[in-house]
Order: sequence, then C-alpha cells, then structure tokens
Amino acid sequence: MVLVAGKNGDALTALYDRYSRFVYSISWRMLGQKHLAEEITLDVFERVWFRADAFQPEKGQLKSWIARLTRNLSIDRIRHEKIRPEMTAVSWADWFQELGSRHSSPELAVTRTLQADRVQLAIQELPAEQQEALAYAFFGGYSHQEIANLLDLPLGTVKTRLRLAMKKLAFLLFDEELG
Amino acid sequence: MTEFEAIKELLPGYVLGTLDPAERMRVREFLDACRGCREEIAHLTAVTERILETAVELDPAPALRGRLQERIGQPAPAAAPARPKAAAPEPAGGFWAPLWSFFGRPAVQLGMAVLLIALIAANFLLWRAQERPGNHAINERGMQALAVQGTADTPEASGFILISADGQSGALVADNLPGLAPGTAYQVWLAIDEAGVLESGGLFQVDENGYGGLGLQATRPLSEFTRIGVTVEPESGSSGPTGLKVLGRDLP
Repeated sequence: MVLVAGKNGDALTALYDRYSRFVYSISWRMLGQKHLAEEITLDVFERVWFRADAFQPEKGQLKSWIARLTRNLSIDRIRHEKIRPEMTAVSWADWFQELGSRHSSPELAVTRTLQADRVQLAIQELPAEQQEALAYAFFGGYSHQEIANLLDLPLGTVKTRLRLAMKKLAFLLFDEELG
Repeated sequence: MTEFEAIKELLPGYVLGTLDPAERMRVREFLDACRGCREEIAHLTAVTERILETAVELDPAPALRGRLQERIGQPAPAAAPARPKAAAPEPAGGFWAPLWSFFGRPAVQLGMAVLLIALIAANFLLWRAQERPGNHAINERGMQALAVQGTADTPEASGFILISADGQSGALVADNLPGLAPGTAYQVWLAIDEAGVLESGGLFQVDENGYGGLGLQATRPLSEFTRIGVTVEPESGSSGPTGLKVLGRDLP
C-alpha cells in the first residue's frame, strides 16, 4: 500500500490481481447486475489508488478495509440507483447458495469453505425474524426506518432485532460477549 | 435509558450503516469518550467482514483491468498472469511450498502432495455436507483437516491443521496472520490440559500476505493433545507463550 500511495501503477496492478475477484464477488452478490458490479470494482480500486493514505494498517488488514469499502460503495450505489429490493440479493440463501464452488486454489477453497460453513451455521442459529432484518440491512443497505416500514414493525423492534443478531454472531464467530 | 445505553443500542446500526444521519452523528460524537464503544464497534465490524469474506469468488471480465488503468491514467499493464488451475498446483511455491518441506524426502513429498490434492478434490463435497464446524474428517481412513480460527485480536486469521490418520504427524497452514516485526516469529503450542503438558510445535514465518505454515513437531502423537495455539514470540522461540495469541482451537 505504501507503493500504491506513492502512485506506483505496478503496485496497484498487483493489488488488483490479488483482490479484484473478491471485490467483484461481493459487489455482484449485493447488486445482482454484472455491469454495476464491474463499476463498483473499478470504483473500489480507484478509491484505493487516490485514497491509499486512508488505509490505516494498525486498525486492520488491507483485505478487511477493501471489503468494507466494497460493501459501502455497493450500498451507496443501491441507494442511488434505487435498484432494490427485487434486483438485490437480500436473502442469506442467495448469499450462501454457491459456497465453495469456485475459488482460485484448493487451499483457499478449503480454508474459505471451512470459514464459510461456520458463518452459515451462525446465521442459521439466528431466529428467522433476525435473519430477515439483518439481510435487509446487510445486503440492501436499508435504514432502520425503511426496514420497519417494509416489515410493518415498530422502529424499536427493528433496532432490537439487529442488535441481538449482531451480538449473537459476535459470540458465535468470535466468542465475544457484547454488552 | 442513559446516553451510554442509548448509544450502545445504536452501535450495530452504526456498523451496518442503517442509522439516519442524525443518529450517526450522535454516535460519532460519543465515540471519542467511549473506549468500550470503540471496542464493540471493532468486534461488530469483524462480524461484517467475516460475512463478506464468504463471498463466492467470481471472475470479473478481463477487460476490466485495462479500464482501471484508463481511469487512473496509468499505462496499460501486461496481461494478468494466468491463475494456476485448482487441481494442478505447481510443485513448489504458494501453498505447496510449506507442505513440501513438511514431509522430508522427495518421494514422500510427492506422495503426500498428490494424496492431498486427491483428498481435497474427492472429499470437498463431503466436507461441506458435514455440519460440525471446525472438525472435518478428510477421508474414511481418518486423516483430518481441522479449521483453526483467529482470535478476537486477529479475526482475519484462519488456517487448518492436517493430522495423519495414525495421529503421529501433521502440519499447520495459516493465512491472513498479521505481519511480524523483525526478530519475531510465530510459535505453535500444543497442550494436554488434564496432564498440564505444554510444548512447542515449532516456529514459522509468514509472507507479505500473512501466509505460512510448518510441519508440527511434538514429543508424542498429535492425537494426544487437547489444544493448539499460535503466538508471536522471539524468532529463536520461547519456553512458553508470551506474546499475542493469533490462532487457537481445541483438538478433538
């Protein structure tokens, strides 16, 4: 990233070769349209190029930063293009349906599959109503109020469901008891 | 409800991006004075990242690489190197490099690598069908691949342990470990809790991507140990764990 910040084009190319599939995959899953996923992929690496100094290694790994950036830009695009909900993969079943089928190497497939199995099981541990609210928030970028309107629920109920869901996932995935 | 309690209620929404602008500003203003809130945000963020990492990898159009160069005003790069086929890795480098050094003689190396490729390919679907997280028999003969997860300090880290069918030998491969400071290494620890046994399983380094591994060294069969962990230690090793724990799990 130091080289990218120094505007080394080869460094950005190397970064693209390493992470473009990851970025494209997230954005394609969230947006459900190839051309939009490609635009997001370009946006992400353009942001990496021009804002490399925004990456703070002490706060996490590069891949995590890129993942958050991808999701945030995808949600911005979803909101801007008003392409939800019909064309957005808002269900966990959609997200997990092809798990493990395509990865760049066997060891990556093994590691990712084991990790993904754990995430999928953790999601399945959540009550159905929490899964539903979380999917709207996670993939659709809906606000609390929008989710409440969609599900015809009080605002406080939506907040509670999301909080309980995230707390339980933190516990199941990392053994973290959040207050 | 106190302001602290109210803010805590908003933290998942803050991480998920579901707050309205006023709520978001309210959380931001509170964060500087709330270390616990910042820590909770880090944990919640790790959850979202872990989910995102499960995205199935898809190939973007090859032309996209050139379009990126156009966007940033850089000359077009050479074509991307072809990715190795999943079932035919090169005999040295990447994943196979650490495994290559695990098992001694070339003939054994070749046999193990071929066996591993075959086992991974043949049992992939079987693996996925099993619903016990973190414990996956690799074949009927009992060779096991066990997932190892990162800790709260290293939620990105992951890996797996391969243990031979007779439990006598094995290997650890890890990915996304934090970079090491000069003069330090990762050290594997093997423990038998009931017997108060704790011994080193060996030292290893990682590449720039946090990827590395080693053949596990132990004074007794790996199947006897009940726990494994990895910590950061001086590169010459320690007699007991002293540094940051980056990986760990109980052994069946």
